[in-house]
Amino acid sequence: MRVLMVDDHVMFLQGLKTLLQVLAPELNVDTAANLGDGLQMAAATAYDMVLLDWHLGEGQHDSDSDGDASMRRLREVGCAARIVVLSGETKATLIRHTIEQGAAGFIPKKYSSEVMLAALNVVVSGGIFLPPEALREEALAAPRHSPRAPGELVDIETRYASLTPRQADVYRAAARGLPNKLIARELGIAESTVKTHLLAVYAVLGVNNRTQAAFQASREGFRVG
Amino acid sequence: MDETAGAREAMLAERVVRERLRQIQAQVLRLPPTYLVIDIFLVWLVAGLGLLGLGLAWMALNTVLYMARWFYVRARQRRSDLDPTVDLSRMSAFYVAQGLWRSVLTVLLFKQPVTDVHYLYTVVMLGLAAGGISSVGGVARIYGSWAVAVGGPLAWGWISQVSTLPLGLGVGLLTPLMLVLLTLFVRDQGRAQEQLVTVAYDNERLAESLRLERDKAHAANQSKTRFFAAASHDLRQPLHALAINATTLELVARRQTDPVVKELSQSINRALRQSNSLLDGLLDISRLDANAVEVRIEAVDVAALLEVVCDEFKPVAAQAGLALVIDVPTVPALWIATDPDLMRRLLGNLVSNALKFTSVGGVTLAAWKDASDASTVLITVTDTGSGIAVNEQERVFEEFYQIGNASRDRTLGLGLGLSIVRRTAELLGVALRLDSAPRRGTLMELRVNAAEAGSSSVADGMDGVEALPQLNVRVLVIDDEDEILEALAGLLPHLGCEVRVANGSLQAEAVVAVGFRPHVLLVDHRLRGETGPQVVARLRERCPNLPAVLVTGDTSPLNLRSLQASGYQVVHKPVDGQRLAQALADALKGSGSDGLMAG
Repeated sequence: MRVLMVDDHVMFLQGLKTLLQVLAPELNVDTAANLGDGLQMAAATAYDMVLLDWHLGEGQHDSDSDGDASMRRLREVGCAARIVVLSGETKATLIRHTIEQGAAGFIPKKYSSEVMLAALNVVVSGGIFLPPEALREEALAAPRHSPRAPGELVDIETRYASLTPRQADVYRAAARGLPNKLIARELGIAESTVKTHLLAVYAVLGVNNRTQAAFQASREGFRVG
Repeated sequence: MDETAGAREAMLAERVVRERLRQIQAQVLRLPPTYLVIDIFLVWLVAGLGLLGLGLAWMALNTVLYMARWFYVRARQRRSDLDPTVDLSRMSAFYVAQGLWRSVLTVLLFKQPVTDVHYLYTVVMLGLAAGGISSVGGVARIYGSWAVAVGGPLAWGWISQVSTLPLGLGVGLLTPLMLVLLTLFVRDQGRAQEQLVTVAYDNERLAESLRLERDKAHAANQSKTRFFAAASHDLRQPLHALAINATTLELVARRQTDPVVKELSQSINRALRQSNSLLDGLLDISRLDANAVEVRIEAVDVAALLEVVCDEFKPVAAQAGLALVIDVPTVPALWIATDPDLMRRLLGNLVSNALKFTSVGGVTLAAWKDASDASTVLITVTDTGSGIAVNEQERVFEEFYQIGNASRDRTLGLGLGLSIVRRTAELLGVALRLDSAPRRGTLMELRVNAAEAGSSSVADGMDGVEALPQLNVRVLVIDDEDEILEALAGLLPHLGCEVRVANGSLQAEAVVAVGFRPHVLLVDHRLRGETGPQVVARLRERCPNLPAVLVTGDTSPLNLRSLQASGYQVVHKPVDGQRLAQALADALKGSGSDGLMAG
């Protein structure tokens, strides 16, 4: 698996790279210390996962827009990778926002080592990691779910046997945060067809949209990448 | 100090002069009509003694003097750059000149033998003198000069008549006496004025220095906020890197047999966690102070909220051997209108604080509807801890204040918890009440607005759909693209439809031939070698009046119009679940076909 990390704090970047190499030596990890480099690398190489610092540059921590721009520009250069957001901030609203913008996971930078390891393990094995606090908080305003302890990841087909292989592909691409246009390009089908598939998938999963699907994937441990 | 005192005196003196000049100017502008009336009366009096001509000439010049003064003051008043002492002495000269000119009439009159006219004249002049005290701005010197100029000749006039009228001596002596008394009165008035100006000036200075102090305090507070924000943000970056490295270390340690390495990495992790939580507190405070916290109010299930908070602190409570329990009615569920994120942190801070200062017993989170006010939900955090004395109950909400932590043991935090609580409560518009006594435990009560039971707050996502309607019909889908067939075949069962697919009219006829009786057709507008309407026409040979819905990706207005004119139900790509269901339902309704069951 090819991984790109984009973070403007070089110390953190180096530290995380070392950690990933110890955790999963089979990973191929590239690093970029700014968005410009990251975009060039993403355009040249097809990465499977991008670990993206939400606050690139010395901007204020209060604006969510810098992360939005980073994600949009990555997609614009054709990056179809799962984008996992890293941030020192852990507001539930920010987490939900990143997922709405198409992130496939959110890892708070301030986790203790056990949780950080668990989180990285989930994303490296293709799952969506969201902080348990965010999942619980999501449950506050939504119909009650019982949050599951993050266990082994499962494929969506094993849980929902009625899904066709095509529907499962579309689901995974969507849960990874790809916009419909990129899903269509990746699977070689029309964008409108993607949409139709998604409607069926959401109906099967009992969710209303991509964001809920991502939260569900995180909660239930569905593999998306 | 002497210098500033001197400066103050000079400033006060100038203010007094300005104030006096202002009063004089006001009167100068106001009085001419009154003087005119008085002068007309005086001329009428002297006319009785056959002095009409002289009287009129006197009055003309007197009026000219008044008007000259009026115009002069008008011109000077518009300019603020002038030295007020100059104008004051000019006003003084005007007054003396005016007084002397009045005395000309006095002298003329007293050349005549005394009659009633002289008495009336004297009364008028004394009246003028009495009224004049208001028009000299409290300057005794001006009034005195005027009084001498007017009173001297008047007194002389009466005394000069003593030979024929002994009574004249009395009037002649009483007049100057009265003028002296009036002059003294003006002097007192002037002094009172000075005091007034001094008090006003001191008040102004006081207010100004207060304003300065307040601005300074405000600026200091803001720079504190900026400092906290910058410090906690910048400190955080290397800490994050350190945490990552510590994690790697722990990972490596797990693979080692040496227990020291493991112990070391765990200890580093604990230290890091504590640093992080201290920084979090600082950052929270600085954000709240800088008004950088956004509030998003939504309906929140209280029981779920309390569970989240409870889950978060269960390990801490368990470690301290304390009970952490929730007491909240689940039926009917309590809902509040609040920002779930901020409320969770507020309650978290209260619970964390309660656990910190409790050694035996535990902490209870409770919630119930206020019995006296149905629109309010009360949430309480109660502990069996050390309690807070009444004189400390306000101070505990101040930042960095900690009871009984003189040594500032940092494992107890920075003492920011309750100050965060208070700021957050203010931000959320939640009333916070503390009830406590030493060794009796502490109760923190929040009064939160109740809300209607809420629903999912994420239903407004980007490709959201409502619950799909159920149609319970058989649908035959005809499209020449397998992908679309598969997609629609995947979706339609969720609308309660039984689906068969065909890639053109031939396959469609075959499907019908083997016994599938569709209630409705769903046909792509453009197929290979045929059009949607042609396919529908062929199938209607077998099943007359079979309703049909055309699917089109065409967006050219001309084609859309001709499609609409064709009378078919049309849906556009990308197909929306709701609209597809609606189009199918409408097509079925239009044909009067049964088998439709709304869901």
